Amino acid sequence: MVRAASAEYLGAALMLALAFFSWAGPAFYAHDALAIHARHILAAPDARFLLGTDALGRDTLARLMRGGQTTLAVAFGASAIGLFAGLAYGILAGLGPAWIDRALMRLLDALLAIPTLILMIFFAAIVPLGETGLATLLGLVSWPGIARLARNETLAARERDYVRAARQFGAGGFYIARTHILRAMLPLVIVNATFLMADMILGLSGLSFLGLGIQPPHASWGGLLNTGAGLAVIGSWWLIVFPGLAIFLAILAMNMLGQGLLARLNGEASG
Amino acid sequence: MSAQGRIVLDVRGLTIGLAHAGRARPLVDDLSFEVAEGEMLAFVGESGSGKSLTAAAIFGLLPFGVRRLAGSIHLHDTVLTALPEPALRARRGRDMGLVFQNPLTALNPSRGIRAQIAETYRVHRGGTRRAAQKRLRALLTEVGLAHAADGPETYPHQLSGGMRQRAMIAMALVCDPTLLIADEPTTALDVVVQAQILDLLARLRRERGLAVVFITHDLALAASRADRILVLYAGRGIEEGRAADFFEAPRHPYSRALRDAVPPLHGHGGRLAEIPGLPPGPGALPAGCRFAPRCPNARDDCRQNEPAMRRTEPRFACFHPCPEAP
Amino acid sequence: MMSGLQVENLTVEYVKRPRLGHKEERRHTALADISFSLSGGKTLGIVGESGCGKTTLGHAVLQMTPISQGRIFWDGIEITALKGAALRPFRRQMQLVFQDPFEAMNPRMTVDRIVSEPLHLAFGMARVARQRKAIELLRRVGLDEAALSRHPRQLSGGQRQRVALARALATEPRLLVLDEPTSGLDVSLQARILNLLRDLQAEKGLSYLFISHDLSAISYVAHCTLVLFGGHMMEQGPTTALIESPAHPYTASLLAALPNPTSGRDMKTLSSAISRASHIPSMGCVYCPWCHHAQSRCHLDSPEPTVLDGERLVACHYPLPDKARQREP
Repeated sequence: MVRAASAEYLGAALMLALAFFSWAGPAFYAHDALAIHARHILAAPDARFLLGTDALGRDTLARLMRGGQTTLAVAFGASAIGLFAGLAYGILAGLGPAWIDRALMRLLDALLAIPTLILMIFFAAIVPLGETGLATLLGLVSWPGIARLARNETLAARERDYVRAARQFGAGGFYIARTHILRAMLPLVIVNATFLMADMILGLSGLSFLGLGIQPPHASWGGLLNTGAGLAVIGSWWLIVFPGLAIFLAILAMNMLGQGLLARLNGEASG
Repeated sequence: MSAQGRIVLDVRGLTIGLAHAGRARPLVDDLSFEVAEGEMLAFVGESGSGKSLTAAAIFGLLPFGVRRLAGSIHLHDTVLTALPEPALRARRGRDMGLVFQNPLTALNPSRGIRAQIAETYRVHRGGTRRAAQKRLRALLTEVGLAHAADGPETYPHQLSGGMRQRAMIAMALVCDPTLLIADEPTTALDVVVQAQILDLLARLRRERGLAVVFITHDLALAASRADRILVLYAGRGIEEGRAADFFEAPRHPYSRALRDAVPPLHGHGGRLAEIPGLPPGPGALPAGCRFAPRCPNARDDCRQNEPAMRRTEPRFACFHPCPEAP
Repeated sequence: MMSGLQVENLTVEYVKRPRLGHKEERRHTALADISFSLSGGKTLGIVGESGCGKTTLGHAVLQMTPISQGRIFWDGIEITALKGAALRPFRRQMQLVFQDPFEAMNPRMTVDRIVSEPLHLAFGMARVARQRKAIELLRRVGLDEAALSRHPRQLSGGQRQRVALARALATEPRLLVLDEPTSGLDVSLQARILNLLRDLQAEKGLSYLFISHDLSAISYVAHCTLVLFGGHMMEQGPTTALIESPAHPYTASLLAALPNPTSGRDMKTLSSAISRASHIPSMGCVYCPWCHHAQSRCHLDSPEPTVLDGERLVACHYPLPDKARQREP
C-alpha cells in the first residue's frame, strides 16, 4: 500500500519537474532554441553546449526545453478536447432515451473500427497543422474511450436511487448530469485523463517523428527524434538519447500518476 | 433453563474494550451467560449494545483495536480464552459455526456454494473429495437446499435471500459444531422467510442438540422463538429470563420499553411507546445506572450506584423494577 | 370528482430480451390488474414478501416506471394521460421515501444540499431561503441544525431515514409512498419513525402508501391494506378486519409467520424453501402451489376479486370462513 500510495506523488513530482524544465528552463540557460551556431555543428556535449548541438548547430538542451513546451501543451490541449468531447458524448448517450444511446454507440463502434494512426496521418498529411490544429486532431481521435467510460458510468448512475429522487423533484437532464452524474464519475474520469495525457504525448511524438507533427524549425520531442535519427547512426547519440528520455519520463510520470490514483480509488471503494 | 442438558458455552465476566481505551467505556462490561445443549439463547438489544462484539469475542474474531480485557469463555471443557491463535482457528469452523446478517458478503460470489461448503469441510476434516461430496449432499438436504445438491453448481447470486441464509447455515454446520451463533440472521429477510429460517434452526436444535446463540434487536421474535432471553444495554446484561414469561412481564424498565415499542397486531390506536434519548456512545457513561437518563422509573439512587444483576430468579439489574403483573 | 389516489387495473409487464437460441420475447408480469383507492389523509398498506411487486407498485403510482395498462387518478385527474411539463406539478405532490435511505442520497453531498435540492428544483428557492426551510424541515423530523453539514455516511440509520423523510416533505407533497421505511431499523427506532409518520399525517393531512413485508407495522399505521402475491392482489380491505379474520389463505399464512411472543413457542409448518417469486404458475391461482386449501379448480381457473362482507375484496375461490380465519397455517 505504501508503494502504491507514493506512485501518484512521484508521478506528479516528475511531471511538475518536466514542466518546470520546459517553461522555466530557458530563463536559466544562455542558448536560444533557434539560434544557429555555424561553427559548432554536431558538437558533442561539453561545458558550453551541455547536451551538444544538431546538424545546423542549434543547442540540443535549449531545443529540448522549447520542444517540451510544445509537446506538453499540445498533449494537454488534446487531452482536454478529448475529455470534453468524450464526456459530452457519453453522458448524452447514457442519459438520453434508448434510441439515442443505440445510435450513438453504433457510431462509436464504427469510429473505433477506423485505425486512428492512419486517420491521423491522413489528416496531418493533407493539411499542415499548427499547434492548435494538432491538439484538435489528436483530441478528436482520442475521445471514444472516454465516451464509452462516461456512457457506462452514466447508465450506472442514472439507476441510483438519488438520481431517481432528483427526477421526482422535477430535475431535468442537464441538472442531473451536472450535479449527480459528473460528480459520481469525476474520480474515474481524472484517472483516465492522466492515462489519456500519456497517450497524447506518445501520439504527438509519433506523428512528429513521422514528420507530420510540429513542423521545423519549431521544436518538439518527437521532431527532435526525427531529425536526430539519421545522425545518431554516425555517432551523434545525444540527438536521440535526450529527446527519447524526455518522452519516456513524461509518459512514465503520467502513468505513475494514473496508476497511483487508480489504486487509491479502488482502495477507497473497497474499504 | 428449559432443557437441562450439558452446558456447551459458558462465558464468565466477559469484558471487551478498545485496546487503547483512554476515557472510553468498556464496550461489553462484565457479561456472564451459559448456553446448554439444544438450547437457544437470544441476545436482545439495540445496535451498539455489544451483542455482535460478544459473538466476535467467542469466535476470537474481534475487530482490530478491540480487545478482551477480562473474563473467560469455555466451550465444553476447553478454555477458548487460553488457546493460542492457531488452535483457536482450528476450532472456529469445527466446534462452532457462525451465521451473519448478510450472507451475500460472507459468501464468495464467484464460487459455487457446493465448492465453498466442501472447502470448509476439507480444511477442518481433511479426507477425500468424495467423502466431502457425500457429506455435502446430506447437509444441503438437511437445510432444505436439496435441489442445489445435484446438477450444475449453484452460485450465490442465483439464490434468494432466504436460500443464501440456508447455504450459510449449511456452511456453518458442515463440521457438526455443537454451537451455532446466528448474528441477526433474519433481519434482512421478510417475515415468511424469517419464519422458515427459524423453523430450520428449531429443527436443528431438536435433531442435533445444537446450542444456538441468536442475536436480534426484535424482542417479539426472540420471545416467540428462544428458550431464554438476555437483554443487553450499552454492553451490560440487564435482564435474563425464560422467553415464555418474558414478553408478558419484563421487569427491567428497558426491557419493558423494548416490548412496548413493538406495534401490537391487534388494537389500532394509541401511540407506540418511545424510549427518550439515545443509548450512550462509546465515550464515558453516566454515573450510576447506565439506563437512568432514559428511564421512567429512575430515582436518586439510580444516579449514584449501578445496580448489579440479581443472582436468583427473576434476574435483572434494577433498583426500581416494573411490577410483575403486566 | 374524488380526492386522493385512485388506481384502476394497473398492469406492469417487463419484456425480457429473448435468450440465446430462443426466438420469442419473454414477458414478466410484475403487477397484474391492481385496483385500489386511497382517500386524502388516509394510509393504505401494501403487504407481501420480497419479489411480490410491492416496490414496483409504488414506483408505478409515481410514474417512475412505465405501466403497460391501467389508469391512475389523482384528485380525479388522470395522471397517466399526462406527460412532461403537465405532469410536473403532480410529481411534486407525490413523493417517494426509498427503501434504503443511504442509496437514495448522493454520498458526496451534505445533508444541507440533500434536503435543499428539492427546494431548488421544485420552487427555485434562493439559497438563504433554502437553508432556512431545510432547517425547518429537519426540525420537523426531529433533527437539529448540526446535521446540516454532515454527509450521509456520518449519520445513523435512524437519522438517515429522518433526512430522507425531510427531503420528501420539502416539496409539500400530499401523498407519500413509503417503501419499507423501517425495515433496517431497530425496534425502538422503528417505533419513533412510525409515531413521527402518524404525527405528520395528522398535521398535514398526508396520504400514505405504506409498503412493507411486516403486517405488524402495517397494522399500526394503515387504515386499509392490500395483500400482494406474485404481482396479483390477494385480498384488500380494512386492516383490522383483515387481521382479525383473514379471508385469503395467503393473508392467513402471512399472519402465521409473524412472531407471536405471547403464546410462547409454536412450530409452524410453512411451505418449502423454494423461492416463490420464480415459480409463479402461469395458469390458475398464483398462490395455489403453496395453498393448503387448493382444489382442482384453483389450478385451472384464476379467481376474480369478489366482494366479501361488503367492505373487502378477495381473490380466492374458497375464502376462509369467518370462524376459521384466525391462526390458519
